[in-house]
Amino acid sequence: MMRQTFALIRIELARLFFSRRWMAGILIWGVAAKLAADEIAGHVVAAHLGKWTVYDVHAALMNNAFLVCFLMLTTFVLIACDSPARDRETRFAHVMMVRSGGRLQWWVAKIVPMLLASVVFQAGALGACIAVGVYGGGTLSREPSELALGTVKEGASVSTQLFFTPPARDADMLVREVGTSLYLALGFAAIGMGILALTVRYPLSWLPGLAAVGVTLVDRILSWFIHASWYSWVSLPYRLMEAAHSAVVVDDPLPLWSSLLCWTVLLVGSAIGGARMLRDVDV
Amino acid sequence: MNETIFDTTTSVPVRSRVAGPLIDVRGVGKIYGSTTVLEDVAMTVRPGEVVGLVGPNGAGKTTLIRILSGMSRPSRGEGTVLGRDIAATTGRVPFMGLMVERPMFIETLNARRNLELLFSIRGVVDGSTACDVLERVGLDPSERKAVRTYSLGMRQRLSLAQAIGERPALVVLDEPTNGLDPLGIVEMRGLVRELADRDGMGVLLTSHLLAEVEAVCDRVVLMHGGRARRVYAPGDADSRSTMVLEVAEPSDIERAACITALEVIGREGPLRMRVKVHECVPDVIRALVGAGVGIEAIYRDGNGLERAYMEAVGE
Repeated sequence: MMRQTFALIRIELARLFFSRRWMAGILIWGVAAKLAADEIAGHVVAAHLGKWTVYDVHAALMNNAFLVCFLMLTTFVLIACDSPARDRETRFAHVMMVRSGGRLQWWVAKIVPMLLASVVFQAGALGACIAVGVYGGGTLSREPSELALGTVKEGASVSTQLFFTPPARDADMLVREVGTSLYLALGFAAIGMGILALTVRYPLSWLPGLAAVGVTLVDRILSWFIHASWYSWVSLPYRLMEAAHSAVVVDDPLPLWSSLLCWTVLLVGSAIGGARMLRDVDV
Repeated sequence: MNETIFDTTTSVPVRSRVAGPLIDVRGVGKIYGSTTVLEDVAMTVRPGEVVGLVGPNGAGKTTLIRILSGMSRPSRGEGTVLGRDIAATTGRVPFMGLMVERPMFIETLNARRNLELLFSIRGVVDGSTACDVLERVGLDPSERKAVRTYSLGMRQRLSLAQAIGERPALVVLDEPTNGLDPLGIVEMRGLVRELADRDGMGVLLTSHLLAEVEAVCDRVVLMHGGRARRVYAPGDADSRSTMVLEVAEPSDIERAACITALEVIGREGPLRMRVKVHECVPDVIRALVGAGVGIEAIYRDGNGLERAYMEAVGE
């Protein structure tokens, strides 16, 4: 049974990572990195600061709700989260399931590539930030820049940066941004897992994309009606932002553990819930 | 329950170790909400037998295939497919070959690599099988082109290859001739018969091409409105005794109707009728000539399934 599951995972990995949909991912990484780099470069000039690093670009990108939620999350979901629904629509799921010997193996083979894709997606975004940052004049120094540290120069037209949490003076920015990427990968994977579970019940290939956009739109609407202190606790997109956990950047920061718990519960709960639903539905 | 139906040591299909038919279901029904899409269907498929499933769109063919392949649970009914209880709730599915209507593959890989990956799941055949089965379905194993460049007909062939490559005891083919050119249809017909006659597989297929179904199937289940209306056997005595008689003059029709060796069962225009012969054909011809009937032609009715289908659908 394990051998069958591993073979299935191998096939699903090949299907996912040889897909031309990643071209859209590369495009979105580039666009998002460019927008973040322009934002950083503009702030540096206005704040009369010196050099900025490529990691500043990544840190700013990871805290831009529009870029992360609308562009990156939607793209990720479109790349990695519609295959169960698509396979059921085309009945390729039947071909795979009669080989797998059981539905659970098929479900596991859908989950593992999605989890890996979330890490690859964030690695791609980090790579794009480095490439675009270097091209745009940023340095590769792993020491925090003046911008990152929140330095305020006299006579500058802007105040301290509030793009992301200022790091410690001796921080390694590469390590820090890898950590941020992994955190965001966990968040993307959890939301992606929730969407996968949703498509078990409603196997419609257009649903994942709509759900990804819907999560962000509903979140925006909620933010108008719910008190800010409540909103920060119930909003999933808000939790994706690293700066939401920083007392320097926001007034009412979320504890990091609460977000890690939230993503873990969503991830594991959706995986188990999806498996239970899949056992009973008509495929 | 014993689901092992593949003998890896001989690499040839073996009969299911479950005694009896490969498919044996009775009273199968499926209800979605308040809609009954399948009602009281019975079916058997034995090793070496080709069974057709025909009916208009919405007749319940795909729903039945979903139930038989373990993808859907029946609302009622009982029976087994390869020894597996169709009402089982374990989520396990039987070892069968399945060809679906709109075949999908890993589009960026070639046909051989696709098959190798698919065959690696069960792990019951070695690497050379992919080449062998590609040749068998008329595809070039050395072809390097990605599957995304394939025509629908080539995809159908590849889909058939993945279904039969591991030589399962039971193969379910949903619209196997879809997208094939005339030569491809003839080849597909020969291959399906070969699977049953030479390899001993049980084959269940659906198609809208009635002439093809009639040519290849041992029995055909005619479905309409979610029910199995009739089972038609192209090769049985009743089907074989139905003939078409074409005569020279309209008055020959009346003369032919008086002969006891045959029975007129339908007229098709002034000079043609369908008859059921009660004696061997040479004796019938002698009787017709003796009665002064001007015979233009007499031949076996090749549209028996079409008539049976129209009757079943029209009921």
